[in-house]
Amino acid sequence: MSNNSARPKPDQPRAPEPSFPDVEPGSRNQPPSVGMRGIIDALLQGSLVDLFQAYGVAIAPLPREGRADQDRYPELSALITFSSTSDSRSPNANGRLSLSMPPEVVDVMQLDRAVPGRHSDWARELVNQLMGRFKNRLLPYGAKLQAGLPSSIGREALEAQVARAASRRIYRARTLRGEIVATLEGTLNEAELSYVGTTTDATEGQLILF
Amino acid sequence: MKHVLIVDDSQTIRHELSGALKAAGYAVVEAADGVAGLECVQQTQFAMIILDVNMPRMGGLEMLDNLSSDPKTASIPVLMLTTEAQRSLIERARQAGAKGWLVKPIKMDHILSTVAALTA
Repeated sequence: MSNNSARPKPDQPRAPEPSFPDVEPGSRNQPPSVGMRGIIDALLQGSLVDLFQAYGVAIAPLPREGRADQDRYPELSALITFSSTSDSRSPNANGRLSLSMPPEVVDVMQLDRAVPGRHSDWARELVNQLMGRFKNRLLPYGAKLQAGLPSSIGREALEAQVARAASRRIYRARTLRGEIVATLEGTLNEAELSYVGTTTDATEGQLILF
Repeated sequence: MKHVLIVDDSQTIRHELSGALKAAGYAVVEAADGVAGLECVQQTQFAMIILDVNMPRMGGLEMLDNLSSDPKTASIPVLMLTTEAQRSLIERARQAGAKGWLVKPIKMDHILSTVAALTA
């Protein structure tokens, strides 16, 4: 891990406490550096907004607290696992990312409607693309993740899985056709992130010819 | 008619690409992973391959290695289509002989112009 992360100094004003109580405290008992606090939320929510926008669906992120139905999920869900790469400088990470949405949201995406079974197939592809965007946005912070293959999961199974998770972050967003939910489970510690500069050669939608 | 092979584990992605390429005058064959993709190249002479990276059974980079090591398929232009943007992966694909790297989401105009250029 890089030593570039700025630790809070005693004479500096205290940064506000994280507003997301589901977040597991740092596994190494270190506070996140001030600059990195909330970065995972910002990157994941930004990835979510941009992903749906790319397919013609505007979404509005919702506050993460104070909901009685926090553990209820829309009907259509898929998940993908992730872990840190073997690169020893990459922060330790291991977990799952899920994405849930009503089928009506898929129906309004700019896609051909003739694919049989496309709801579940497209949910898997969307969580795969969400993971890709999140991974790529973490690269400048020294985190290199490798993702598994996306799979479908039923609503009840996902709700039970998330309820059992020791560490989780739940992101909800509103669309005109219902709410979408992304859940990040597992270990991905903001305290281990530090800005190392751009390590990507491409951005979403970009074509590179060799 | 020029044949294009699409290798991607998402049926929706294959369908979207296939529809656009067929409308542009290409013959299209689809495969859901690298193993099926390699079987396809034994049966048909392709003008180009569009290849996903992360797939079950055999991923795109492994399939690319197989294509490059076989004199019969080494000259087929390959465009990688993926969510990955990591520099090391892009460089690995370039060294293995890929002709391009497109980060999802698909921009169909990029796909069509690239296919036209690489199959000319």
